Amino acid sequence: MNPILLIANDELRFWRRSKLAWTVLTTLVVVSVCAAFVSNTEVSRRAQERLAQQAEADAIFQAQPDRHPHRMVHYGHYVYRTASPLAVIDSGINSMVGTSIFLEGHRQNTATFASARETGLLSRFGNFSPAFALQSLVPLLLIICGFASVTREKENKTLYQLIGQGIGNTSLLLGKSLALWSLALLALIPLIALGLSATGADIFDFRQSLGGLTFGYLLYLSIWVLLIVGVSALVRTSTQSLSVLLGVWIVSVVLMPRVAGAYANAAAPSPTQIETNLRLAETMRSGGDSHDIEDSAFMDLRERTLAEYNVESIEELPFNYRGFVALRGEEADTEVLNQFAEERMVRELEQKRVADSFSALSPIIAMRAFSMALTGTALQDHHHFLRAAEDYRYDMVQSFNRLQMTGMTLADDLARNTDAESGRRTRLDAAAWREMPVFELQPLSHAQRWQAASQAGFIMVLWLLVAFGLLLFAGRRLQA
Amino acid sequence: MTEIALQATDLKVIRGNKTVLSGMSFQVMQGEVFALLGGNGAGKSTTLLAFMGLLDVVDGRAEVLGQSAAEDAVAVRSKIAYLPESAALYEHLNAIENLTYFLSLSQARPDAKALHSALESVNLPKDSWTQPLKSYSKGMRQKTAIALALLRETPVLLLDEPTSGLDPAAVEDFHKIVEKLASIGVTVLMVTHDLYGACQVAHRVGLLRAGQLVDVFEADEDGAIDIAAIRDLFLQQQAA
Repeated sequence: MNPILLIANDELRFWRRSKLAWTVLTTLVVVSVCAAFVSNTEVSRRAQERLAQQAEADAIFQAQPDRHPHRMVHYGHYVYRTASPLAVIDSGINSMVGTSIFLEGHRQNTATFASARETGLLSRFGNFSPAFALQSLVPLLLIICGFASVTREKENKTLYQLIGQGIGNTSLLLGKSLALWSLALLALIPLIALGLSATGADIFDFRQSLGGLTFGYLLYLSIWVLLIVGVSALVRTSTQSLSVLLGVWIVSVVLMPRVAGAYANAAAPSPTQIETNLRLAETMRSGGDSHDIEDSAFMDLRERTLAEYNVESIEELPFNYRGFVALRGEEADTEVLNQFAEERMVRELEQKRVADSFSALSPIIAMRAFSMALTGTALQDHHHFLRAAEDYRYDMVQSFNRLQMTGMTLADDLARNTDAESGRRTRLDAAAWREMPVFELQPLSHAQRWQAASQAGFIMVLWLLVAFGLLLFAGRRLQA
Repeated sequence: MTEIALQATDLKVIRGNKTVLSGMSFQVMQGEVFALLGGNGAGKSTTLLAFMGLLDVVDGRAEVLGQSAAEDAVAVRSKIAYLPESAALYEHLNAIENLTYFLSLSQARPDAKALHSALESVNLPKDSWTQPLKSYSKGMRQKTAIALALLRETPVLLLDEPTSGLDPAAVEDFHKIVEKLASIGVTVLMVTHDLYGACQVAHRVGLLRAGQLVDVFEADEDGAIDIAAIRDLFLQQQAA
């Protein structure tokens, strides 16, 4: 048998006969299974809630009686973001950002502007999910199991005997790594099982990402395995090995993500929600009030429209001018709102870019980005939801404005609050909102998710090469 | 014609900040038993590790059957069976498992009969063969390690305090084994504190002090070595 396999086999035999290894293995299984169970329960519960809330919101919206269409614009509608099927593995930023938005005219609400500052978005320690277990706890358990893999041989002088049998140092370290790696493989079983049993929209598309996700976690845990065995080979005693590895774990898993988040906030600061709202209100005010057709901001529009239709007054236009102003006003408002929203998203992406640059110092930052991208729970997925919700809001509001423009006369519209008959004529049939399409979020495609994950994946490959280099270096330096 | 099996040439080794070997030179011929005597810190064990290619040699060369231990450590180790001072075997395995595992690493494939024969030859009680080594006495561990060294069937045997912890009868058995191995051409380099044991089994005895070979004593025609001369020189060196 190959010496690497022999050494790996013996290491596993040692663990089978070691109480510590059994304790670690039991903890590993309990942590993995609990994380899978808790996450699955929580995500399923939230998904059910959102489905029920969306259905209720749709029903309430569609049950609205005959109304003036602009009242429907302000009555508004809720849309909910359904979690991606792989959110059971990694909830990503879902728990930190809004999953519902109240849609109404002239405004972009809740999820969009509720988190104007991305405080700690990437620095949270994480939820108890399989991703959290694999990213944070499994490396710790691997350290506990493997910190003495080589130092134990030094301390018991068995390294003399091992090397004395004519095997190379690198073969010895690769054998030790292979044994530890097999433990890491065990930790991946709940992830694969959860991914394969996940259900939901576009599940087939997401299953394509599952392979990449599993590979990514394998890559990440391999980095830790090589690092653990490399350090154990480089230092003299098990105590030194444990101290160094725990230090590395604390810095890279606990401290570095927080430092990255804090630095990102400082390097690419966001204005506060109040600052954002004040600036937005000021910009919106300068665009005029589309409820008032006499607003000076719309005089140019009036002149151009009269000229275009070759008429003298707005009463002569072949449509309700008030609805037309609402349509154009919403168009202008939305342009401003989108500009603010895009600015905010650019800032968030810049913060993310700065935070992600710390992945050169800690592989967990790259792993988090990779995992969130492939599970559809990353910042870009949140932005995708916001844009889709905004598109839906705009289409909904404009469809009501068009109804106002074409479904009634200007005279009735102006007199609807003073003349009962006009008021009756401007109340449109409720069928108009019953026929509104419901909001359905199409998630980013597998290819788009891969594209978003590629940079983090590349950094993890670099980390693996560095860890492998460390192992080779340790092999050359290994002394009994 | 007898060839050189082990050759140290101006060997210099530094461990930490201390020069452990400083320009040591000697040769051991094939089939010869050469014992290195010396006090604590004289560089005895370091000499063995240098031949195993387990240390960075600052200067000079350590060669095994013509191959440099530093440059071709893996090939050199395949020709050496090494017996450390404290039997370096796995406590979670029993004697049979230890032998099987270490021998499989050296690509040897001894059958059960050969394993049993080796364990019998070192007088390890049969009922202990399948007990984990953690239940063994120091002597029993040493015997298991000797059995492993025998089973390797290598042309060179390096022994670090091989009789430490053995009872007198086991020491006598061990000396017989070494003599038998030498008679079939195995080269033995042993380092020890045991002056009388060394003189009993070795063809030559070297006296080591502060990383240098002070003198070498050869056996006469009857195979006897002048123990008194070695002892006097050793004491004289210690007093200096």
